[in-house]
Amino acid sequence: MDFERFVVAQLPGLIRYSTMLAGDRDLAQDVVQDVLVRAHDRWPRISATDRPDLYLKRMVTNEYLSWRRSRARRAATLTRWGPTLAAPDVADHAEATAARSELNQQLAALPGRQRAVLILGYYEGCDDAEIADLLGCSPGSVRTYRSRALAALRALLAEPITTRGDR
Amino acid sequence: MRAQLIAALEESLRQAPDPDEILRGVHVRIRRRRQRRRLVLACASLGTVAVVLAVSIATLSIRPAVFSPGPYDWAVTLEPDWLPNGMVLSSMWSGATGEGLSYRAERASLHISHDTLTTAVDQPGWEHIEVNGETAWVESQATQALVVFRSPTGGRVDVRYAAGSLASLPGAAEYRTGAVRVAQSLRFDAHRPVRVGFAARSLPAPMTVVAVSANLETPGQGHLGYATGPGDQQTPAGVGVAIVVDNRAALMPVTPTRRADIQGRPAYVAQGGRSIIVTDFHGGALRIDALYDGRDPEPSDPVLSEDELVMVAENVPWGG
Repeated sequence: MDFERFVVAQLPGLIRYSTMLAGDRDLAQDVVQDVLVRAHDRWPRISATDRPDLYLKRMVTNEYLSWRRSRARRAATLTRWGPTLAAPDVADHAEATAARSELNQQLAALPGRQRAVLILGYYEGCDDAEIADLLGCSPGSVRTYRSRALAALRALLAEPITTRGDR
Repeated sequence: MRAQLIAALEESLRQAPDPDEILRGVHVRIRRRRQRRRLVLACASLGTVAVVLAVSIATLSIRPAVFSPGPYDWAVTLEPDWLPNGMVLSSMWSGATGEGLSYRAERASLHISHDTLTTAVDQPGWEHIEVNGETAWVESQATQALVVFRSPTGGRVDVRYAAGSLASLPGAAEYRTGAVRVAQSLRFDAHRPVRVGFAARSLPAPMTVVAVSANLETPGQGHLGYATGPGDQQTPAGVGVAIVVDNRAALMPVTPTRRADIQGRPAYVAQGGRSIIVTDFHGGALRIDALYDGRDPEPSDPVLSEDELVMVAENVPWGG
């Protein structure tokens, strides 16, 4: 499969995954663009793998978790370093936050790996082994991340939930 | 409940970017990379290898003592010579990555930011105009307009003129005209020091101020960002703390947990131990956030302990 056709077929899924991970339009766009540009360079190797789609999903995950790009550093210093006042759109940010559900806000506040484990497990339907492969960790670590994430969200969740990895 | 979690995750999809815009960006960047690669190959014999040392948080695992930060000197250089009617300066900020000004009027707001790290200003699909002889880009919508252009130092300047939170002004043209006029009047030679009425008296590691913002509507309130690294283009900020004093409800997270008083005031821990909030703090709330900005992935455990954050919070004097 050539790169262009692959991208057209996979782009909606990559955007969805990246948007859920980043929780921010600009960052999601940066992540997907960066990954696709680098994937283009490595396409002969990626296309030779069994699952090029998983390869790209791993690249998106790593790109999000690494915070290497200047966009992330900018966000870190402008927004995270000054959570309410350093960013110019103070009122806009407050209103946007208020419009989101409490659960969504709590999800956004989770550390990146915990958030990725929830998205991959509950939304993308991956089992623990697949998540471990994508995150480059052991299935045991995946269970730990999930446990911590659910503990943080417990007050807002009505009842316990299971994933394919729990069964 | 599974459905509850999925519904919350799907809320994020309202923020999904436009696939066509992504594809346009990918094509442009692939083309540029090819051109750059050809240039690099031609210059390979003259090339040198730069080694950049990453900030390691392991160095912070040994924290011998409490440190006192030195003074800081962050100022805003931006100065618009024209403003829409009724605009009053409400906040300003300056730091390692840029600077900004926020204005408010009864029914509109104006934000000017200068990002010294980001140089890319070309936005596919935006309208091209000229600002003082230089190319600029405009995105105009019903309730706001954004003008983007390159600053004299090569950074990116955003001028956003938008409807206020209570009501909208009629007509997109007014926002567009106003944003362009502000952009045309902008100078970069001012020196307005950004000061707040508080500071950290002690920190868990040697840190300096990397960003400061002042809320001019409530004198003394604002934020101070301290970090072990400079947080500039070359070196991430590393580990740090953000100290915020504010009287807005947004400061309080969704599910804080009550803990022992700090400075004799009610205190809470939130965000999995990454934040400490002290209420009834001189007309607002004091919030201390542990922060991390490194080349390595953020550890799942907080980079600063709750005890260290409490120590910072106990030592934030208020000078008004």
